[in-house]
Amino acid sequence: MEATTTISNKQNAVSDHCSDSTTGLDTKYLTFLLAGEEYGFDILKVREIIGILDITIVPQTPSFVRGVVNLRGKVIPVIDLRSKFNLPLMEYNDKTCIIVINVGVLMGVIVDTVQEVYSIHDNQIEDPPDLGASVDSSYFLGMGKVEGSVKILLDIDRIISSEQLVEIGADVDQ
Amino acid sequence: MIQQIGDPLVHMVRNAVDHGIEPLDARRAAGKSDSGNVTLSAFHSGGNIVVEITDDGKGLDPNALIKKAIEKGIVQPGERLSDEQAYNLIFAPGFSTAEVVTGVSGRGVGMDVVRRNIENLRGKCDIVSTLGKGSTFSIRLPLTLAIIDGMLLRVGSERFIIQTIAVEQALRPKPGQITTVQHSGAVLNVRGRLIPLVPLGPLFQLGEYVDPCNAMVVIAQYASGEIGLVVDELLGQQQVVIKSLGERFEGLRGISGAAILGDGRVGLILDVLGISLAYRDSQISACGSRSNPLAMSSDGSPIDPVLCGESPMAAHDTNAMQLT
Repeated sequence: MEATTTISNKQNAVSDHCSDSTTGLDTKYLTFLLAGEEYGFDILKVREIIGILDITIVPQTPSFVRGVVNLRGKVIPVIDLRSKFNLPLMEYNDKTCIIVINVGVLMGVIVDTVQEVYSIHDNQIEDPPDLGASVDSSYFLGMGKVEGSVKILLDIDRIISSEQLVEIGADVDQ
Repeated sequence: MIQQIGDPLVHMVRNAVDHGIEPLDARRAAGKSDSGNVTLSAFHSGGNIVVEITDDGKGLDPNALIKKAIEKGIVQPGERLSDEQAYNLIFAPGFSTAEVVTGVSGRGVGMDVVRRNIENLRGKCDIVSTLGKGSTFSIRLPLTLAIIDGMLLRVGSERFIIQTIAVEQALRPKPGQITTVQHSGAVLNVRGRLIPLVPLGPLFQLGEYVDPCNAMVVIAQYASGEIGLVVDELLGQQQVVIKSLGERFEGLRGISGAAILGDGRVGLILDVLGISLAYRDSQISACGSRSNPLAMSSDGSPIDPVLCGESPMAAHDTNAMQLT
């Protein structure tokens, strides 16, 4: 809530916030750190946040698929977002979190540490800039401006549903 | 489940109509009504779902089936089979009694595919038939909460479960029992039978090749053969509840599901047929001679996978597959 007010203040009119709600929407984002960069997920997709669990490796999967974990009797896949984004890997520690995402099926996403929940208004979100071929921008919803900093908002559906989790050698499949 | 059982069911109903029900004059001669009946029924029975397809046609003739099987080389002449074993011949790959392709059946999808689909669902298919009276095919499928007897194996840092029913024996081989082929594959001689060895560590990228003489070999059976799985350790026996890995992991070969182990971690359940196929493909693509992936050896079984070159999964370490 504090965050929302700050945004509105920056627009120089607190009342604008109310009228804005008819023209656009506030969406809450859960932000987290990944190799020093701040990213955010739409919080409605987040089911829960847990610490790191024992992960069972699943063969024939790409390296960003860490394996499966036992979430209270359910077996769910877990992906490592650092690995997915080709960031340097690091050892898991007590700050490492698994964000359990619900996109029809449950899936765990490993991040360095979770931060805060921000309400970000639509008009505070800019389209992702063109960063050239080195960055795959198809995973980004946009760049959210909050309190002078920028959060990279991720389209979780694209990240985990477009992905085939099983790596079958093309030549093997014929 | 519905999707996987749909095709086999359609296939079996087609078979019942086409092969089971006899032509009009034959029915009249046998004193049956002009119209044939095929009944489809389903019910619960002791933790299973049973689907039955019953026809009042001519029934299966064990002698005719055996004769056909001998022609096809599936059964050796002189081999004695019970009626039940004879009925089960129709599930053998390459066995088809259809001489003519009709609009209803006989279009190449064999009963072996039907059985494989049912077995994938951990089901069973039984046949009861009376010559001249008709046949009943019953499919038994376990309800979702399935418990299996499993053996716990260790490969590298991971633990796997194999169905006890698939395990013939586990042994630590002596050096003389192992023959390597082109320094890449190995076969194990167990009382005169040669069994291809599949090192699970390299196949699953969980470890390097270990000398089977310092490890354990689990001889596991699948529909049409057996393989020796080279694992690091046998950990014991345990009943586990099968959990699906979900559609996200569809297409995974050699793994049929998961289970929660005693310490709360997840263990993966091995699928022996899948492992043998995955291993064969890894070997075939490694030797670059994919021209005859379906090559058959003289006894009709798929050609020995270990005759090919090195596994691509072990390619990062050229010594990984070699015996030292």
